[in-house]
Amino acid sequence: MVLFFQLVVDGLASGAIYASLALALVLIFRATRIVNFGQGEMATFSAYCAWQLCEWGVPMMLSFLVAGVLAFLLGIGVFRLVIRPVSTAPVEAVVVATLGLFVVFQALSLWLWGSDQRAFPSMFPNVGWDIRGVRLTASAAGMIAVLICLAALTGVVFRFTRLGLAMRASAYDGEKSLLVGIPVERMLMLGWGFAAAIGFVAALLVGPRLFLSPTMMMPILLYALASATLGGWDSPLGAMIGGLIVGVAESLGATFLPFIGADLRVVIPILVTLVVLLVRPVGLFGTRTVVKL
Amino acid sequence: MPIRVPGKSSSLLKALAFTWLIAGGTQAQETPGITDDAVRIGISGPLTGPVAALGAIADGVRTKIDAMNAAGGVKMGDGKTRKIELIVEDDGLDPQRTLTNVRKLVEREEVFAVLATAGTPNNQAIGRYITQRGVPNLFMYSGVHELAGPEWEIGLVPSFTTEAAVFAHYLIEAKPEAKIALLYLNTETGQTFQKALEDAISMSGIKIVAAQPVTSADPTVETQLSTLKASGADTLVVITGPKQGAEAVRFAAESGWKPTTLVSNIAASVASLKPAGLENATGVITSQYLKQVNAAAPEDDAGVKRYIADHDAAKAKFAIDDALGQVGYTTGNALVKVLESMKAPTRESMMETARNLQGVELDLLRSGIALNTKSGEDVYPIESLQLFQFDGSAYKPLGQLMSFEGKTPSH
Repeated sequence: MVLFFQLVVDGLASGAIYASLALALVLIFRATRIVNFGQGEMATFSAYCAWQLCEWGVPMMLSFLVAGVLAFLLGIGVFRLVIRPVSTAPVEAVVVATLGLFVVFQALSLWLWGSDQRAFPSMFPNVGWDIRGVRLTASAAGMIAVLICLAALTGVVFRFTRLGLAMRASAYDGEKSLLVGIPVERMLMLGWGFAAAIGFVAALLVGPRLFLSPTMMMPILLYALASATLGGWDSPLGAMIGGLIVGVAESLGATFLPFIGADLRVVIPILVTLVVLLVRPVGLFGTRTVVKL
Repeated sequence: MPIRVPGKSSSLLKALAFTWLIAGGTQAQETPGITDDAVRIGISGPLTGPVAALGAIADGVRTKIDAMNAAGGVKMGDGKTRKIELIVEDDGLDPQRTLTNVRKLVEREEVFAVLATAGTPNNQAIGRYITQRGVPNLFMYSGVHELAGPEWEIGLVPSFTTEAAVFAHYLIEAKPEAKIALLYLNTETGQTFQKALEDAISMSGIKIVAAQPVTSADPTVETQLSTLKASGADTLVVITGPKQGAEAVRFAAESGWKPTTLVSNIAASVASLKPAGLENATGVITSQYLKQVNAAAPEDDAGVKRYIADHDAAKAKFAIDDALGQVGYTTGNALVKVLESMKAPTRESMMETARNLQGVELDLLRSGIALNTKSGEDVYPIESLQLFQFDGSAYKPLGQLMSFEGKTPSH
């Protein structure tokens, strides 16, 4: 029984990793209706900037702050240079452009910093608690706490502020939003900036646990996509909970279903997502789009 | 209506066909990829992807080759001095892409041989092709030596069976009642290692009480490790890539489990354990066949000094203490040795030479270790390993060099 609870805790810990990237993906989808496959690699790139600043002797928190601002500007820059020119193109073209971002940012990190894995400074103390034989580390608990706060915060911004409303409107229908006086382009730009900053926070949380390397975010992209789909693409909190469910399902499934070996683990999140989608096509927390005629 | 071909042009056609045949015939005899002043070598390896750390191998090869070319080239066994042209292709450790790359290298770039192909499944994927084309797959980076192209492939690094035997040997001496938990890479690599370990401990009181597979793309391995910990094992053996290896080392310490931890040399370099926290890595045992490189204090070792100088000159992209880069450098070193003693500039001669190495010493191989092979009997160039234990800042030798020369368990 101890093993069962330990696996649930482990699942929550890895679920938090998936959720962090899922959150950034959902945010950018909500703000711009685009799934940015390059999100994780952009975040990794920003995390490397933070690491480099630390290496140069800048205090940890200050370098995180500076790199966070850089990440925000990077998001805006990418939007203006790469996404805006193709924004009127069919959705396939935009998808290919974001895949391009994935390749370019990974190659850039590899070229600048090499492929060695590196220690990344952690925001949380290196301690753990033993609760009746079940071990919980401060980094996992802290990560889940920070992510829940972030998800709630972005949910509130989207739902209850004028800015959030304007961003949602611009993403939903650019032309009509323009007509009612929303500066659509600025909103989309902000959306990319915020999403890049949240992605950077995700990378900060993930970095100490997965070790910093240019390909750190790559294996979790699939899990993050499954988490976002499971939670519903327009709900930050949904992405968060989706990630945790995926993590726990993977952890328990791979251990207690003996026919699932190492290679089939990744099937579990996909399967869970599929089942949920069959029952509820918009995901657990997604809202149905109603079209009135 | 039958077409009438005038006699004259027909003989002209025949003559043309004949010339073409002759030309084709001579072309087939000439080995591609080698001229009087250059030999072309191809590498397919993961420069990107989840195991991009292995890209250091290709760069290590380049480091050695750049140094040789800067010195004028390699004086080969046929008396001619040739420079080495190196072509590196990225496969992201995807066996399918390795095959595509090797085809491209052989057919378009016309390389003489492929070198240092990384990954067991990747070498398996190209086995049939290299056999068909008769292209040497020289010094592959895989601890499984008998793969799909036995006539045209040869490994370099010690077989996983050697490493498993060394680990078992140590445990039988030091911990005869050990209960082993095994974390293994779910490819031929891990399976070969597991089987060899089982064989090596079969006559002792040591048992494998739990085994968990991982893939090189798994983001975390904590669930596997929790399961292993719950099995009640007191010894953890890790045979995975560097990322999962470091995660396992951290987990073993942080979770309060603290088993005796033995990590395969593919994951145990100081550079790759550093992110796990050096205090967590204290006590980790690994096996090694390379010298310790300490750039600050190279001691008085000509080989290490040469490596450091070449590393600087080539502006290598890997850290100087990166064991994978050192493996690459050693592979380049071994290639040079083979080229130097090849009697004829042919692919057959290259394989013949690589299969009959006698006491070949390399810059970074530990003293007492040399490359030895024998055609038809011994396909393992390196069969000796030294155990090391990490003391919190560096690896310290543990016991004597263990040699399995000519006795490597087959698999």
